[in-house]
Amino acid sequence: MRRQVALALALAGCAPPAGDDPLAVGRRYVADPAVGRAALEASIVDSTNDYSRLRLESYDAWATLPEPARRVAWVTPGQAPSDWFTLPADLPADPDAVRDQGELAFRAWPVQVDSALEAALDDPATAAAAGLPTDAAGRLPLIWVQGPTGPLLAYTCATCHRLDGAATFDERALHTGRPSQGAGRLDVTADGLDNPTTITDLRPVRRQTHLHRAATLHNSLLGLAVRIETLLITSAREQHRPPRAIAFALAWYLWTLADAQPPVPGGPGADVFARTCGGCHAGPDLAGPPVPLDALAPLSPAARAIGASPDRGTGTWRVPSLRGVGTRRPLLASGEVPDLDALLDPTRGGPHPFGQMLAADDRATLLAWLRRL
Amino acid sequence: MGGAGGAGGGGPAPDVHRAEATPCDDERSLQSYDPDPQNAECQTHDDCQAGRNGRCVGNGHDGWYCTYDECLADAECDNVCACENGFRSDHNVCIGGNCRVDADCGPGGFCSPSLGDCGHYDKFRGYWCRTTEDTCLNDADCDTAESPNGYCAWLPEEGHWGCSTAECVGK
Repeated sequence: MRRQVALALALAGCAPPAGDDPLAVGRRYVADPAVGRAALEASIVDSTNDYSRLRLESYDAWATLPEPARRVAWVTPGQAPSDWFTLPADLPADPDAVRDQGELAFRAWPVQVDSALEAALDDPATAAAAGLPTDAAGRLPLIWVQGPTGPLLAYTCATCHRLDGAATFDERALHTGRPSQGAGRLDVTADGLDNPTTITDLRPVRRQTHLHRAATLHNSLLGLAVRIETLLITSAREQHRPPRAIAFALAWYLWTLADAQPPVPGGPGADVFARTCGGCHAGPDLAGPPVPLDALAPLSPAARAIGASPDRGTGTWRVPSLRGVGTRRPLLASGEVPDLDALLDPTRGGPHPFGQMLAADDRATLLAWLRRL
Repeated sequence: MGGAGGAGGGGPAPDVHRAEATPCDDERSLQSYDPDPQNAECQTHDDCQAGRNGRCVGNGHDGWYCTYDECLADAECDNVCACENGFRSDHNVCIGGNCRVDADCGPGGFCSPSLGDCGHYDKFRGYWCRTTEDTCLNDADCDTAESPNGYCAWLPEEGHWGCSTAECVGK
């Protein structure tokens, strides 16, 4: 495990210091807000968009927000909340324990309270329509959190980010009780534009050069931790903040998800991929540096609408890692394509036409290869 | 709920508050839509007969479906009957909170509607009393250069009103 962790850090440009403590960077971040501030500044691509300005101007003040203990309980339809527990707020010493803490926070940290979630609890059909399946224990991917006058329902990271590659959450279905065409997409930008983005597949997050489709942030372990920290603060309406140990544990957990991905296979499929897709999706991560938005605009109106947002825009568009794309759905900027088969369908038309013109045998070879990623 | 209320106020009046319960009218828009047959449970308003004032509404994101007036007055709800407050439609719906009218909030108190966690992508989620702990009064207090599109909202985890920029989870 230690070798895997060291490799993960090295891949991210965060080589562990002498002494072989892979979490040393996290401990410094937890202990000193200045480390988070430096990571924030290093991660920002364009300091003029609203996302970056808010964080640059508010990060120091956010350090003084209260860190209330979060009393939470799992959400089981038909059952009142019980077995309340408090999420840990300290960073364990062992990397595997940090990962476990991050996994727990992924499933249980109350990211944002929302009374609309009660619809999923009250009606199984609405929960199904909203893409909120119960797990083997009968729990919904939501969490109860103690509020000032009683239990409140809240989103967790797991509400939207399934780790099987399928983005199914359908926020509109919570209101209408029926599936919409917006499943797997959310409009998270306060820019007054209707520009929903596909809910991100977090499994390859370590492999991305940038965070956000609009390439708002340079990616690194600490950059991801600060991105999570500030998300949890803004989602709490800037009233309280998470312990940095929670933000780092979440980042560490997400960072390690890539360990479970299989190696990139070789063979004829790799050759077809290299000449068809490898110009952008390159290297072992099958990712690449962002491309200018102007070059992309004719290919994807949705990407243009997201990338040009004053909230997160940088003038560029992230080239996503294709590791895990075989099970990822929906695809492209705003879920315009349901899956790989549709993406390479020569009759599809529309955005991202690459690969559609392949000969039938090359297309079949490429599809088979992509499904193994 | 029916107005659990607050402890009174005495502070300045917010721009939007509910001095008295006013019934909704019995009218709905007859605007017609152009449903996509692949994603529609109705084609015309006449297809919507399972409730009061049925209308076939929708768009390419949500699909097309029937909506109905859930109420015309507070008496039909646990708390407030919010006129034309339905999700992406103009039907009346029951919404929660801790007050119906200003009087439920004590002497000099105010009962105001608040957006929820999806901000402007949704409509009002409930009516809550203004409190002495509030950190904003009107949306204008929250729409600043640092937080464009901010709004003044009920903060359920805090138990008072404050500024928010939330427009659905994930920001």
